[in-house]
Amino acid sequence: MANYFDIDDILSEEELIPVVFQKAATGVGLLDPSSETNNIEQGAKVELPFWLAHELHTRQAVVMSIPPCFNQMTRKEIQADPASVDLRNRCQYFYELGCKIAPMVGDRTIGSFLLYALKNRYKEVISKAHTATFVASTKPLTLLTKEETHLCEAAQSSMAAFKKWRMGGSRFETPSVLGKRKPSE
Amino acid sequence: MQDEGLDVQSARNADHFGMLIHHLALLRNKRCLMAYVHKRSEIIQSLSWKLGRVLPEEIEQKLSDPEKRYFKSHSSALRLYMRELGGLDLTVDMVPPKDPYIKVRVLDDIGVTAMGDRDTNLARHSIHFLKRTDAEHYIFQGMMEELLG
Repeated sequence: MANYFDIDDILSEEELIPVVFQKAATGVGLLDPSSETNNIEQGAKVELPFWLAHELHTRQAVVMSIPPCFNQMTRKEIQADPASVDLRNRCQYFYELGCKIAPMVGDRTIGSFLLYALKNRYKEVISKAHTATFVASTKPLTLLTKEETHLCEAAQSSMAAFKKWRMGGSRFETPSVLGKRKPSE
Repeated sequence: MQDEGLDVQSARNADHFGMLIHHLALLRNKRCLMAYVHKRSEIIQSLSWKLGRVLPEEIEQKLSDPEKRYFKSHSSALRLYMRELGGLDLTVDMVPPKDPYIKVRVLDDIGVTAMGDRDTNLARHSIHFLKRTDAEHYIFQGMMEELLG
């Protein structure tokens, strides 16, 4: 696994996916809050994290359905006004999870939906990152997913670097390693 | 798991899937823990580049014994490599300096130290004009600061 140690990859697989059990399973009643015994019956509807749902899906023990952040309501909202939808609240790892889940569930529209959302939100993210100051930009940042936050930060730092270059910067550059204080302080 | 040679229907009963879920949860926990240890080991590696061979007290007490051993062997591997290169110290001057000398203020009582060809008394709050290579390690450890301007 290429991203075995990647913490963001681990967290993106933590999102809950609604599944329906095709097989019964004993000894795992804690996954199903409505179950009175310690077992899961065939046909039970449970929400499982993606890492578990994915493995059980490949073994045909469960059938995955589409999580709420890709449902029709979210799609309509994104079509109406892409930039103002609060994707962070719905799913921090919207794009990563979408890429992982698309081949699992038989829905071919997820890919194009992700592309549409990113394309239309991207413009807004970049223009806000370039114009707003750091203090004012905290509000739109709360709507962004992890991926978009990285984009926004990259845009801001490249803009800062460009401004510094245009102003000429300081003639006497001190090495950045020397300016750093010790990390424990 | 047991795809061939067994009757699939009888092998995969409810107990099988219960066990499978527990097993997958184990693997997941293992991955999370491995990622945590890996992340810490990356930070420890970067510390041996930034801080040299001695760790400050407040960092060292946060490390476990295997991590301390890892830090020691990483920095000794780094030292060995630099010796093979002919005594070149790779950890200083990551950015090419403009001036080989810098002005520093001493933040901690270091005492009399050999600097180049003479001894210098590095008392607290004294200001010195030192070779950058001599001062750099003290700055990383927070015992000196560079005076600008």
